Amino acid sequence: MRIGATVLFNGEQCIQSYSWRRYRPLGNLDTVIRSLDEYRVDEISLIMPFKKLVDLKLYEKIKDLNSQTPVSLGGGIRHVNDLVSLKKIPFERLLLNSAFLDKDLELIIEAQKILGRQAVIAVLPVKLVDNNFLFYNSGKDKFQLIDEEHYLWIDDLANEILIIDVEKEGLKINFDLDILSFLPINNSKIIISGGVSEDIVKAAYQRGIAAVHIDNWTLHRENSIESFARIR
Amino acid sequence: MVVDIIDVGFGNIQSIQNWLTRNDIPSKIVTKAKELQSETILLPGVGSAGRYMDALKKKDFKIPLVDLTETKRIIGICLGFQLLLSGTEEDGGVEGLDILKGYVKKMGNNLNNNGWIKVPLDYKEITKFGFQRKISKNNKTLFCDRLYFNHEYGVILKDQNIYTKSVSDELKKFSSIAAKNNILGIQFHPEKSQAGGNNLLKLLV
Repeated sequence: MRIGATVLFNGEQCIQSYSWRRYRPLGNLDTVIRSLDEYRVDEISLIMPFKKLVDLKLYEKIKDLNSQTPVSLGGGIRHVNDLVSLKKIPFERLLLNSAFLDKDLELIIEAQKILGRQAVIAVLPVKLVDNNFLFYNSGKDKFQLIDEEHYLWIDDLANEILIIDVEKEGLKINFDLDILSFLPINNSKIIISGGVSEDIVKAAYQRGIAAVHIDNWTLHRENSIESFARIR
Repeated sequence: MVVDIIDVGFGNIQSIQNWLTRNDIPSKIVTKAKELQSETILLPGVGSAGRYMDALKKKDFKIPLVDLTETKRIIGICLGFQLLLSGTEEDGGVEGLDILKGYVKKMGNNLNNNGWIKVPLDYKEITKFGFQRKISKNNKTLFCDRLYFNHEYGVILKDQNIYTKSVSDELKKFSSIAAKNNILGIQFHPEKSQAGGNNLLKLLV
């Protein structure tokens, strides 16, 4: 099981989110990446949390990103033409959200051709509302249900699926493991993020989860990666 | 320049160059075949095999790459390694450069190899197959460090006289590294393998 970090950023600055309700600046992206490199995280997911309004020019600010750790990148990629914005950016894997929720096959296939099938990850931020798991669609800025057939479609096209527990992100409350029981997707393809504590790392390891991403909280505790890595 | 990095328009070229620069190895990004001049040519690979091979042909890299195997060192990384083989079943079947004998196969339904694997290497064993480091002044011969893998397709070699190591016990028939004479193919991403990638560069390049 890989132990990585999810980092939200808006161009050059990183942001700490608390349940997507409160935010505070974390510092310069280069500094954050350098720290994560030093902590030897297994991977970094860099997400620009765009909602309806998207400014892809912000990606230019990270063209000099120099990380020795595998980077997955995403946020605001809604159309095939948007992939051009990422051409000069040093990253390995692409995080797509609305493309998977809106079944934008053209965008997903084009991303697979440019980056390889192994490089396309579906991002599904989720929260529990009235006993239903709802998934956030950033293109529409709303939460929606997913039916059984849609899960299979995502499973078929995504190399891995990053599940973000929105309510737990940035907090020391455990990731809701019921999400995993609910999803009809093999745990070996799932990355979890949001509320990843030591207990959750243990549970995820036992369940054969592909990776856990400790959100920005990892930057508050220098030894968190090391201590979590000992669990696996 | 010491290393030419082939750029056909996509791929993590910058990460590769950052990796070489970090280890004091001068490199140049090459977009045209006639610009290939350095003693080592690096073929990175990100993308689907069909799209990448089409781009290599369109930019006239295919024939020079095959011709240069006698005089220059060629290093293929990930898809770049896979395209050194005779062919791949990706994208409905794509003909490779046929520099190494073997083929590329999907490792299994819904089977990925995403993650870090500790790979032990013995430089002395590798040199028995004619491959030698040329740039590094390192004297070390043993390597055992974790390296980053991210692939759905794997290399199956059909050459008994080549240095190779399996990806893992679970993926025994797939090769993580192949070396013979001037050719080195690696399935993992050394440029994204932190200290392991830097140490590998010192051992083999």
